[in-house]
Amino acid sequence: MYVELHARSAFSFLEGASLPELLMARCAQLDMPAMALLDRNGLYGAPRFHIAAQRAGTRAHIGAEIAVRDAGERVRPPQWLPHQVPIEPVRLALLAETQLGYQNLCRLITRYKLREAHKTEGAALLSDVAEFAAGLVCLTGGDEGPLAAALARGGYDAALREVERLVHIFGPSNVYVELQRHFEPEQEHCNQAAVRIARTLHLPLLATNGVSYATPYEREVLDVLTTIRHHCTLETAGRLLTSNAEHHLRSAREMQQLFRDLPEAIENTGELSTRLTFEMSDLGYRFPDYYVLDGDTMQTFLEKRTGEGIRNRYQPKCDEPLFARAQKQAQRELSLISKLGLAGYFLIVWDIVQFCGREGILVQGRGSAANSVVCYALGITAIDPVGMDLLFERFLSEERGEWPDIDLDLPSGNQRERAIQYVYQRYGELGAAMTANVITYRGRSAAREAGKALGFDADTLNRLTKLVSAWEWKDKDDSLGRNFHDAGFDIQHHRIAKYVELCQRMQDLPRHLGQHSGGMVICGGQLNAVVPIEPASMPGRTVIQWDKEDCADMKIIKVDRKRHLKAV
Amino acid sequence: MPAPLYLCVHVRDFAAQALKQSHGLGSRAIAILNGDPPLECVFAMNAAARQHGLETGMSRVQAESFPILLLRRDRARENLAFAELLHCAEQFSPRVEAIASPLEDRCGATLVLDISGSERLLGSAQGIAASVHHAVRTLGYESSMTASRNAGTALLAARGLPGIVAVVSGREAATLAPLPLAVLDLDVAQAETFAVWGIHTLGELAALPTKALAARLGQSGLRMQAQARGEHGHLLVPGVEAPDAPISESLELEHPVELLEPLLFLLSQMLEQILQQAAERALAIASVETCLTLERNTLDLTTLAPNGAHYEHCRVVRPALPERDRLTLLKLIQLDLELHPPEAAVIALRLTAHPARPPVAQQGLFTAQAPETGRLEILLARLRKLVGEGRVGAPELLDTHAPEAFRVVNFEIAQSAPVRKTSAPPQHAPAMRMVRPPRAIAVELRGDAPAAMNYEGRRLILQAGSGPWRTSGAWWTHPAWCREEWDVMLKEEPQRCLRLAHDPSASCWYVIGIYD
Repeated sequence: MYVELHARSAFSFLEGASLPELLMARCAQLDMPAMALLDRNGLYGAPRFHIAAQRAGTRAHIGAEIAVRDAGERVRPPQWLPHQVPIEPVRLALLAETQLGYQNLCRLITRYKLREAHKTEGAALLSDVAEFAAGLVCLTGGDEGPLAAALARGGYDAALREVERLVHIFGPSNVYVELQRHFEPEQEHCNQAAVRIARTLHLPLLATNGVSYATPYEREVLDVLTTIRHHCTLETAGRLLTSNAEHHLRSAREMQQLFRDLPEAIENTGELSTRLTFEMSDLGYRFPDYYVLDGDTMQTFLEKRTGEGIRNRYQPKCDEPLFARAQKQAQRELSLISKLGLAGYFLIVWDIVQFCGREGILVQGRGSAANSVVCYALGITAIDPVGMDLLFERFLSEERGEWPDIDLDLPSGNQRERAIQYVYQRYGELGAAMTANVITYRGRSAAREAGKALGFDADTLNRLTKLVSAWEWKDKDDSLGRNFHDAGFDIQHHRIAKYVELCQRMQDLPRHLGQHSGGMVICGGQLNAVVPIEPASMPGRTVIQWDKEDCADMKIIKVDRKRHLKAV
Repeated sequence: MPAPLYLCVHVRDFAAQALKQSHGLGSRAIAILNGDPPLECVFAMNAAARQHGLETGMSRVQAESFPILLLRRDRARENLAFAELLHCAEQFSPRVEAIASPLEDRCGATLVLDISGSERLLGSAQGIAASVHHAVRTLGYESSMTASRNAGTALLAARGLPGIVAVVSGREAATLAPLPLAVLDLDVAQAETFAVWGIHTLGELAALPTKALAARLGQSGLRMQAQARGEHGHLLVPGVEAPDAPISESLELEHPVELLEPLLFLLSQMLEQILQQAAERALAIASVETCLTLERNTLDLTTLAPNGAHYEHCRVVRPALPERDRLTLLKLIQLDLELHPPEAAVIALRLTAHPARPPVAQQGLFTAQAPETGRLEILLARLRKLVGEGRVGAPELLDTHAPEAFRVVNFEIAQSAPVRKTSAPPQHAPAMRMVRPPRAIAVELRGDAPAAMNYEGRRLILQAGSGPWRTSGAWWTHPAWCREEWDVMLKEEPQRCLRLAHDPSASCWYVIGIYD
């Protein structure tokens, strides 16, 4: 049995060419029982990888490659060879063995990400790694890892000392000496030293393929992404590009053939996979409680505030039957809220609305929340759902098993920012954050970047990009190739054909992480133990590494979705 | 600090004088026409033409009614002549400001030299002025020049007074007083105003009440009055030319030349001039661009761009080290032109040299003597001519994974000090001799690995080797390349270790290296 335990997805942002779903689909196709995803400096692709694994009936192991500033520089080509490979810190490949390990991984990433003054990759310190080492398994890595770096820097002795340092941090049972074989002679030199070190320190060997894409075919996309990352073209990238197409997912048979001289390295993948018990099904996320005075529970407090609201809203209408219907509906809603344990959620939203009221910030609930008389009574919405016979179940239903989604409209600009900062103050920097927005390559951006990579001049690039329609309606025959053909380009020409192909293959690949305009998550306890948090581009804002769909999949509740109120 | 002393050199009708000089027209009356036909007008003239009553600004039709020779303006010749004049002035002072020149579209040329403190070196102010006058006259230009403690006074006096004048300190106003207002740079409105007031000379302007003048003409009035009184302090701004600014020499030929030898004779003279100018800046020549303007008639016009840019045949010679020797540079140019001859007869030459610091090298007492750089350059140029461009020099690896990717670049002299060898233990890495070109072989496979091969007419059994090492790239081009390499050991004596390469796309095997 072979389990791939070191794979990067496209969520390593320009350092991986396959989406997590594609990696997992290929994993299932190869009859691999499990697979690990270790994206660069984050868990950006972990939810999608987990969900894909659930659908495929396999297991998803979660980890990350963590850049460590004081552990040396990663391997670069020798000085006598011309190259443009930049100096980067080595990256530790860490796998979450337990839930504690996962939480520590999240905390570790958050720690060094938030240490930076602005949005950047960031790098941990060895002291950070040592602090959050519990529950994590460390691999010595491939080219990006500390073993290869130390070997290039100071030979076998330095590499041995480096692995000893890892053993000191993680413990002897949590360090695996990683071997990769990409048919490169230099790598074999590193592997021989790694085997010697493993024998000396009595550490287990672990075979991986340092996967950067699902199939060899995707090497081309990775090369294009590399040129985008380093702001060059395919012609000028030189040794920045990969030297062959061997960083793909391999079947157990292929890996066994490749490591036939070291069968234990293959066997250990299965053993380690069994050890990695953590799964993302339970992240330990808990919605925060709303603080109430002694003698009250959140439910009773909510009932009191709802009762007051019903009286304030309906008594002035002097319509006794309507008042009675409203009370009855409120009782029904409150009992369902009590049953689902959502009192805290309503009170937190009510608290934000109260804050906005005190500060003179216009706020308005929108969407399906308008169907709830509790929301109406709490002042969250302004529509009378009873008087207008709105259906409550559209908002909240026991059968659907979903968390309610209350959207709030806020004025744009400073007032909206004050409301957001209030949430930060109330739940702490590590308790609340904005949701992310994954910016992906769409038609035009893919066309532009692929053209740049192929070295098209600006005029040609503009001409080609204009042919790509991003949002227009397309008929069944409308394809990029047909557009180019209609515009007079010879799509049979190798260069144009390759360009069209690359444009299509780059679609939907993540480009970078942005900040969602309004979604915010808060957590009872620490949010940074559930998902890594990093600084957003806007000062004073932090953002989690997942977008709103990922949050929904991971059962993380968005408090509200603050949107621009255009009418204000 | 020595008292300030300035010398102004004014060459009236410089454009006309420069053209007359180049055409060898002697004392004939000539006028220069400027502008595009049919809107040409008189731009400059010499004294003889002025005596006929010709004036600047007259149309061509008007000018043709005078018994004078009309010539079209030649900016290139003017610029060249002005550069000569400037160069002449720089022989006397490094601080020279060009007040008027063809570059500013003026028909005259005026230079102001800062000769402060030069009296002990070059003699009195009068003497310096006479020396400069003589030098300018040697170039063929009639000039007027004035030396004064006040630069503004020197400027106005040179414009207004002929010959050589040395203004005595304190007599500036008196010297300027009889001069007409035309020596000032008046605009039309100011000239009309003074004419209405009846002011015609600088003396009359100097005598006007200051406050009343300021009330009517503002600051410009005050400035002009200060100039007329010889009190206006002119801030001399010398034209600072970068010491490494390119040096150009050009020459037009009377007849098209097809042979290289006569061209070399001319190029030699031009190089001499260039090296002399470089030597004055204490510099050598880092590169020389030779531009040959070709005759159109003998060219295959179908191969040329419509803009005519390709009528010039330009070649650049760049020695490894800046060179001062004319013969070396000339030989390099000759070899280069022999390798890349022009396609048509040459009608004009232009040499542009980029000067640079001459190389300074301290030879060690016990170090081996390197060949003389100039001779080495010529040798390399001869080799280049023999074997072709891009085939002589030092190999330089390219930034690519492609096997054996390199290019040939010119030799460069290392600027850094030689790296001292440390006492680190020697690395016993095996050396490999590359087989160039790779030798094609037939290989028998066992599985995917080579088991035997036919090499040098023998069937050789291969022991277990390592590999394959796979590389591929340039997938965006057609065709892309890919390669598998194996290190194999021969089973039979001699037990040599070879590196084999396999091109999977072509199913060909090669020996590409032999381990020592």
